[in-house]
Amino acid sequence: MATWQRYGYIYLSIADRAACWKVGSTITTDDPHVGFGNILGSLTETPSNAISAYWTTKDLDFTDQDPSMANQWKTVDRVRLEYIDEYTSTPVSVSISIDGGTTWTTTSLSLGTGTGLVAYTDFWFLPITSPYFRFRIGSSDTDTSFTWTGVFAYYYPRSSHFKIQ
Amino acid sequence: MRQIFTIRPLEHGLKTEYPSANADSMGAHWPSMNVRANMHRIKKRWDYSVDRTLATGATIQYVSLYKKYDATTFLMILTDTDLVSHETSGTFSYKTDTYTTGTIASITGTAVVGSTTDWGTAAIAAGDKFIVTADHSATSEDDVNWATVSSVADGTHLTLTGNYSGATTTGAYKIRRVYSIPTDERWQFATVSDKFCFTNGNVNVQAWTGTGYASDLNATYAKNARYCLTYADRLFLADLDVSGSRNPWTLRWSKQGDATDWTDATAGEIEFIDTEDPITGIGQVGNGLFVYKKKSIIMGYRTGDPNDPVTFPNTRKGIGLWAPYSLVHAMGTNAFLGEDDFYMINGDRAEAIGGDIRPEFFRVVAKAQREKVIGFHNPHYDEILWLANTSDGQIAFVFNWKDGTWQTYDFSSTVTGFGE
Repeated sequence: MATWQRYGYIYLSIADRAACWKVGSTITTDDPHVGFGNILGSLTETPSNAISAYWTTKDLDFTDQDPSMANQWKTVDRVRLEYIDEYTSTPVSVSISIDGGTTWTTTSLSLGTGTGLVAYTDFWFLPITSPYFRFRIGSSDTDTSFTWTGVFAYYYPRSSHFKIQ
Repeated sequence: MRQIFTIRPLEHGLKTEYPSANADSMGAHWPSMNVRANMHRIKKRWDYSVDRTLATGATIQYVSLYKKYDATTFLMILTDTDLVSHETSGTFSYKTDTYTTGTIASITGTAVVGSTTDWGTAAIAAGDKFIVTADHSATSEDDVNWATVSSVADGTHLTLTGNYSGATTTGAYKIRRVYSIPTDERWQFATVSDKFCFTNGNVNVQAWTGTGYASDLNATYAKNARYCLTYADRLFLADLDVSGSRNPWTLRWSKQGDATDWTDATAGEIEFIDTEDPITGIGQVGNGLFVYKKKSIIMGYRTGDPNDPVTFPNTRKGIGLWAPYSLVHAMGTNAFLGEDDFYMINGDRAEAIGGDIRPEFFRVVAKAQREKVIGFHNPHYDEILWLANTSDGQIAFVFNWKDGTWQTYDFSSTVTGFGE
């Protein structure tokens, strides 16, 4: 697990302040806490509970990068996820919806070896054709986390999209 | 020919105000859950490790640091019934108002007989907790020998709900006078003149000094206050009992440097009755004292005169604190849920900050639930969390004030409290 990011900001500042305090009955840090009924939790970056996390795009027609894609059919067959390789075997699912999020086509992979380096992985799909695409990247796990830095959708332009009234 | 559509950087958590087509590709759609924007990237939200497990049935509302003048620091936990000190080595102890006068003469089953006790006058009540001191390990709570008072017959006789489980039936004892909180209300707290003060609409304002147990701050002038704040070296209370009945328009402040004295020349009070709606909270913004109502904000400033310490020259009507416990102090200002949006005070104006999340918030949070929204500041992650009961269960609407982005979190258990 890469830990370079943690040393700069959070933990050093806690250590500094703790050293300035005369400890009463209780405490050596000012960690944030969360209460779940009678359970008091201490906030941490280290994952230990099952969390279902997902990030979803809007419906995209790709025109903000290529205006000629307006009202065009497109075929997507690959989504590349760029991430920081922080943990070993982080489960990641990439999903595509062409009906506004009602149904999803999903490809799931287990990513990473914990090198701490930027990495990318391709998620392949049977070709999906539509004028609009919604992408969702998700990870549901107990003991891994993630940092996603970019998503790249690979597509083929197709014919014009029109409706016959 | 294959082309590439790039979505990078992933810098926006949620931007629900944009139309779908031709949208900013970096704006996530509702719902995106348990991710946060950080340095133009998307990261999993923070997790937690279990720190303490309090008594079964307790509900944690707030966690707060209490720093005394001599730098002694305590971590206090306010539950729905108790003030709790977070001890080292995995334990906790109660600092709740505790009655110890007299001794126990005998305990037979559920019947407790006291000697030189005065339980009737002391208003020991059903639900309070009883233990013989010799059976009590004060730093290893929750002690299994705590028994619950069922009824009090007179000053020397009370009955427990079940047979007392401890080994000792005579001698010194403790009765923990557990607190109550009105439905949908919460504690408020402030450290003033070296005391940790806390209050809700059902109790005399309480104070703990770092030793012993909490007790009434001033049972005559500091009663049933819903809101409190430290300001100008005084304790300010709002929406409290005045001369025996609740006055939700009153703001009252203590003597300078002494939160127990409310009759000194440097103490005082004011009624805000120019708008009929009651006070819903008080906050400090910079050097100003802001009094919130549901649809207005009254702004006060220090005068430099110790006998007239604060003046309220400005009132802004139209925007107010709709959800009392949504008021959050962060970055030297206040943020809160108003009637139609989330707001943050900038100077003397409330600026709407909910643009990215506002439509979805008001879609999934019913009107009756909006005034129950509670807010917390999480400075370690530059976040303000507003917890709301939605049509999809409890959701935290999270504003990252550093990036100006919104995220949403959900949890496997209901979040009841927060703090540091």
